[in-house]
Amino acid sequence: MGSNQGPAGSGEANVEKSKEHGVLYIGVDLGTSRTSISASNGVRATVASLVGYPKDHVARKLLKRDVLFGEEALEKRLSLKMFRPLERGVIKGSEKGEFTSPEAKENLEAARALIRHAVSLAQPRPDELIYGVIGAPAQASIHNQKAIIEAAREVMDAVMLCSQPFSVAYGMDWLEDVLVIDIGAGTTDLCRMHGTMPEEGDQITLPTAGDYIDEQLERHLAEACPGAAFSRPMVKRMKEKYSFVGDAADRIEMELPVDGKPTTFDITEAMRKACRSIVPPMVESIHSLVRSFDPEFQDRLRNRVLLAGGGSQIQGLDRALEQDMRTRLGGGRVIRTEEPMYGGANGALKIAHDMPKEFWEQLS
Amino acid sequence: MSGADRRSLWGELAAFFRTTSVDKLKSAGVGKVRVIGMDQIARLVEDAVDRVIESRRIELEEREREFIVAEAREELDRLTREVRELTHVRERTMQEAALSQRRVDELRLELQRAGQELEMAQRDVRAGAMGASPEDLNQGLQRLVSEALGEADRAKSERLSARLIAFVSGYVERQREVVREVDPAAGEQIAQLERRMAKLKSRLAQAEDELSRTLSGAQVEPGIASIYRGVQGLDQSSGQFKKKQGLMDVIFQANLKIQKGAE
Repeated sequence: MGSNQGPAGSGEANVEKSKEHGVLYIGVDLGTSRTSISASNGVRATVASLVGYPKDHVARKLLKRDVLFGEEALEKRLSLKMFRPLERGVIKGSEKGEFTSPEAKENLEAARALIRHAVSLAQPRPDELIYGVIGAPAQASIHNQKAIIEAAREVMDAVMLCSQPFSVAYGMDWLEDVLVIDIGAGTTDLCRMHGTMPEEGDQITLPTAGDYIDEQLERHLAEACPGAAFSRPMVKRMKEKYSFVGDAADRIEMELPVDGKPTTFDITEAMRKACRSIVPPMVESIHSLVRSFDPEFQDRLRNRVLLAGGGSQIQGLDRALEQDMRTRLGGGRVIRTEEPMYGGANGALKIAHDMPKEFWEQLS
Repeated sequence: MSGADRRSLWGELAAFFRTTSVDKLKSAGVGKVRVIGMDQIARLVEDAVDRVIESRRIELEEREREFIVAEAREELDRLTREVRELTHVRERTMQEAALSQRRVDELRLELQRAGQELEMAQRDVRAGAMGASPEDLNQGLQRLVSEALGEADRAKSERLSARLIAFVSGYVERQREVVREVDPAAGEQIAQLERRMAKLKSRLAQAEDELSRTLSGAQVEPGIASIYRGVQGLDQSSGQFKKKQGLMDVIFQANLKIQKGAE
């Protein structure tokens, strides 16, 4: 176990670390777009998975820090070298499973810093044992898993990984005949639960997720708003605020600059089309997982589709999926998790809590 | 809580009070402070005690009451010791921060002085080699040529100026070399100053790092305690106990495999 850092990562060196005051469990949902934590001291926090390092000495002096995270990093991005260390579920640049390229090394370091920061958000006491479970992308390679564990062990006494969709289902006590759809930024993970640990054949990972919607929205906006200037972060913010599928309750009107002049555009159709683009591949994958399931339980499975992750907040998505499932699968029921941002972290926390003492001790 | 109890609690806590100014906090990098009133603390203590007693529905006998009071006092003492210890750590850290800040300021001053010295030395060498700046020389030559040839033949005047400037610049550079050879001490002085500046810059960066680390340490808060004192594990009365037990085992085995490999 590495040093058990406090919230600011230091300063506790002078405090005797007797570790006799308690056990802090932490559940972490390490996502491409957001990282969320839930802890057994009641703390819950979420941060955009962004890491920024000052570009030069001047910037560092100005910002008074060596590294910034989340929304704060985004806000000061002009003075920072920015990293979004995870992409499509793995550490960027390590797609081949190695960290040899400079890009992979830099992103690995950023991912480590992000994990340390996420744990510090739980405000652990220096004298408590920290046991954590991290919900990692279902398709993360062994190299990626090792890298995440090594980073977490710098700030935790023991750590375990589990697949993100599994932790969502475990958190809700849905362990049998349930199909979890975790819509993240980089990937949409579908996972079939049948009372045991899901295997490779129980999982499908789609690239059509939050980032894909951003790309689509950008394309549709270029057509719908001729001459308008917008950046990817602006598009992302629009999506987070107005995303929907199905019937729009109100028209969505946005002010975008055209040749420097604010101009109002109706972006309702562009938003609908972009958000709708992830529905067909999802229904196709649901179909694939249902039809290959035990025929006796297929009906139960398609009526227990659990929608989680940031993408599940798209208005009307559950209804749109049910509508397409009626055509493709003859029906089905989709339920949203109550807390899309914390579903994975809450589940990971529950796993950490339920893990027997001797298991934690063997990993300490 | 009675007035006397409140005063007693106030007395216990007063030992940890520390007076500081807003300016001092700002200079230590503290932007925000949390405030809690004495009445709120007293109410919290009172509520907590009431809730515990009520939830357990204890019919307290005198002896039990004394026992609980003694336990509560012991716990308060423990917390008091803990807070005192943390307060000392914080104070030490703040002292270290002040020392680091002073060191950073000194290094900045030294760096500034070295920069000025270097600039002066470079100016001296330039003056020694040319007696005038390259810009002055270029402007002078252009003026002379255009006066000699007049405004009529502007293109010719510009061509001639360019050739003359190239020739004179080459000549001056050769002279500069001569000065360097004749006065190696000047070149050596510049090189030495440059080395000193590089060293000072690196020391300054180190000191600033140290300061930033110390300051972030100064803001360390004791953290929020977990609700658990010991490791929990699956509750036998939990629904699907056997299934969950099996799942925990699978997760553990998979992680053991990764981590044994990683070590």
